Amino acid sequence: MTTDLSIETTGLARDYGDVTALHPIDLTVPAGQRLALIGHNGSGKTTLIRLLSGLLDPTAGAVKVGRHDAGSIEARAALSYLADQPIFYDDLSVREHLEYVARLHGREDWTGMADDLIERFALGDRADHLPSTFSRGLKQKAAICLAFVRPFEVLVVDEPFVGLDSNGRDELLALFDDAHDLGKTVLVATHELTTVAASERVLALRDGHVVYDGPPGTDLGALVDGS
Amino acid sequence: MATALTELRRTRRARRLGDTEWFDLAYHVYLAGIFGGSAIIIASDYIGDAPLGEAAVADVFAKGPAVLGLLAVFALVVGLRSGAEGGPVSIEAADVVHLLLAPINRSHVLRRPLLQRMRAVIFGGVLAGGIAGLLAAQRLPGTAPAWTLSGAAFGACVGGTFVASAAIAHTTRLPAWGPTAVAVPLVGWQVWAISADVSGPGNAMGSLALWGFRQHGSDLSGPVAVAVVIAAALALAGRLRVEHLARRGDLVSQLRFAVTMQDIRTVVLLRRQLREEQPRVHPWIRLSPKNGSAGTAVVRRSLRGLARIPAARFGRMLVLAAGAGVAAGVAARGSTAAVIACGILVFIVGLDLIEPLSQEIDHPDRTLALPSAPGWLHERLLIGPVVMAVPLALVGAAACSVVAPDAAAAAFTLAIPILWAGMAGAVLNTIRDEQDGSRGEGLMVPPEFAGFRDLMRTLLPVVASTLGTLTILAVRAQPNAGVVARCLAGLALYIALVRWWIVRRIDLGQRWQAFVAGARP
Repeated sequence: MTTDLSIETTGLARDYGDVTALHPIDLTVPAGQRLALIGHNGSGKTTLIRLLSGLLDPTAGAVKVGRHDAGSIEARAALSYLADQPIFYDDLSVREHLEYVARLHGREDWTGMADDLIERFALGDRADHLPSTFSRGLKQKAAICLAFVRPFEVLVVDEPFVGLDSNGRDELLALFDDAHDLGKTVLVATHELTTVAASERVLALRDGHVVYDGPPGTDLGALVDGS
Repeated sequence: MATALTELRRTRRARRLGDTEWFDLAYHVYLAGIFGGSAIIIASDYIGDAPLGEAAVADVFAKGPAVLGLLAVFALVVGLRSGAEGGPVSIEAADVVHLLLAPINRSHVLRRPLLQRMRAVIFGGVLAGGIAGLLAAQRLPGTAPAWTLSGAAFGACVGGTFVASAAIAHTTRLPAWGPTAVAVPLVGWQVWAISADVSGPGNAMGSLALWGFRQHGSDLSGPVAVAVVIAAALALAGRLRVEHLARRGDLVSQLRFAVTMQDIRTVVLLRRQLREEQPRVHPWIRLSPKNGSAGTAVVRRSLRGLARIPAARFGRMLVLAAGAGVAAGVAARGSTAAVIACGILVFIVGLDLIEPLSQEIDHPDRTLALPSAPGWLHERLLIGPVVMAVPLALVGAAACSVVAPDAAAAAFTLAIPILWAGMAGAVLNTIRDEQDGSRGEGLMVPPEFAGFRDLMRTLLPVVASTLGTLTILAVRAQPNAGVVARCLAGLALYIALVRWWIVRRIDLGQRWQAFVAGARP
C-alpha cells in the first residue's frame, strides 16, 4: 500500500446471519478524495461505513485506514465518523460534549473551533442545553459539530442531511468543501443525489454489490434503481 | 486524553449522585428488605430446623460437592454462552461512539465496566450463597456464621466463574458452537460424578460450600482457578468487541427499564435481540399462497410465524419443556414446591409459543383496522401454538417419566393439557396491556396500592400458568385413573374458560365500564 491511500479494502464482505449485506469489495480511496456513496435502502452503505469506522467486524477481507487496520488506535485517530443516528450522553450539554470529544482526540485548543461550529449551526442559545432532548434536526447539527471539532484525516459520514434545515445543509456542504480544500478525504453516504455533484467520485451500491465506480456525470438515479 | 476521560467520569459521577432520588432509593431498599426478608422466612420455615440424621448428613457431604459442583459447571457454561453472544459487559451507546472510537487505549475504557459487572455478579453470588448457607445451618452440623461464610465464598466463586468465563469467551471470540462443545463433556462428567463415586470438574468448588463443617485444603484450588480466570479476563478487557458493545449498549438500558416496569413481553423481545435471535429468513416449512376465508388466513399466519422460529429458540423451548417435565417428576415424587418451578417453566415456554399472538398485540393499530373483533382474531392466532405445544408436551412427559417412572401414564395423559393451561398465563401476560380502548379510569387505584397492583399484575400470569400444574399434586395424592380423568376434565374446563375470556374479554370490559359509569352520581 502506498502512503497516499487513505482507505483500502480487500475482499471486504459482511453477512448478517443468512443475509449478505456486502459482497466482497476491493476499494482504494486516495488521500484527499471526495467520494459519494449512493444506493437505495438496504444496499449496504451503512454496513460499509461501519466497517470502515471499525464499529463492525468484517465477515471476510480487511479494511485499512491510512496504513492501519480499521478500528486500531491509529485508524481511530485518523477517521472521524458521523453516524446516521446521532448519539449523545444524557447528562452532558452540547459544549461539554464538544470539550470531551475534542480532548479525547488530543485537541487542546478546542474552544475556538467549538465556538465557530456552534455559531455556524446557530446552536449558540442551546450550547449549554442537553442534546439528548433536542429535535432530530438539532441533534443532527450537534452531531455534525462533534464530528468536526476533532482533528481527522478521513471523514466518513452516513446520511448527514436527515432532518437538517436549509441553513444547516448549506453549512454542512461548506464544511465538506473546507475539509476537502485542506486535503482531507471525505466520504459521504447519501440518498440525496443532488448533493453528490461536488464529489470527485461516486460509488454506487445495489444489494451489497458495487454497480458503479466513477465520476458523478452519469445518470445516478438509474444506477441506484437498477433501471 | 486519559485526563479528559478521568475528568469526565468524575463530573458525570458527581452529577449522577446529585440527581439521585434518595427517598425513592430508600423506598426500593425498604421494599427489597420486606420481600427478601419474607422470602427467607418462608424458605426457613419450609426447610425446618430439625437436625438431619447421621446417614442424611453423611449423604450430604458425600454427594454435596458433586451436586453443588454442577452449579459451578453451569455457571461456566452459561458464562461461555453469554460471552459468545456478546456479553457480559454493556456500556452506554454514547461511550461506544465517543470513547471507543477515540484514539485512547480501550483497556482504560473497558476495564472499569467489566470490573463493575464482576462486582455486581459476585455480590449477587455472595448474597445468594450466604443466605443458602444460613438456611443450611438450620439442619446441618456446624455454626451459622461458618455456613454463611462458606456459602458466600461458594456464591462468589460461582459468580466469578460466570462473569470471567463470559469475558474470556467474548475476548477470545469463541464461536457460537464453542459453549455447546464445552458444555456436553463437562456437564456429562459432572452428572456422572453425581451418580457415581468419582470426582467431577466442579467438585472442588462444590466442596468449598461445605466448609461450614469440614475443610479440605484441596478445595482452595477452585477459588484460585477463579481468581486466575478473573485476572485473565481483566487483562483482556481491551479486546471486548466494539460491534457487540454497540449492539448491546442501547438494548441493555431498554432491558433494565423494561424490568423495572415489569414488562415481561419487552424483556423477552430485548433478550432475543441481545442474543441476535432473529426469525429465520428461510422458514422450516414454506406454506404456499392460498385463497380462502379470513379465518384460514389467520391460522396460516400463525403457522407461518412459527415456521420461522430460529433453531436456538426451538432448542430452548425443548430444554424448557424437558425441564418442566423434570420438575413435574420431582413434584410427583414428593417435593410440592416443584410444581411452582414447573408452572414457571411452562409459562416461559408459553411466552415463546404464542409469538404470533404477541406480534399482533405489538401492533394494535393493525388489529383495530381489521373488520373483525380482536377476540376472534386472537383466538385463531393461537391455533398454531396449540398444535406446536403437542410435541413439546410429549418431550416434557418423557422427561417426567424418567424422573418418576410410576407416574409415566399420568404424565403422558396430562402433559398436553397442562402445557396448554400453561400457555394461558402467557396469553394473559401478553394481552393485558393491549390498547383496546376498553380500559381506563375505572381501573385507577390509590397510589398506596399501585405497587401492590403492579406486583399482582406481574404474578397473576405466572399463577395462571401454575394452576394446571396443581393437577400433579392431585394425582400424587391419589394415583388412580379416576383422579387422572377428573384432572383432565378440570384442565379442559379451565382451557375452555380461558378461550371464552380471550374471545369475549373486550365486550366484557366495555360492559364493566358502562356499569361503573352508570353507578356514578
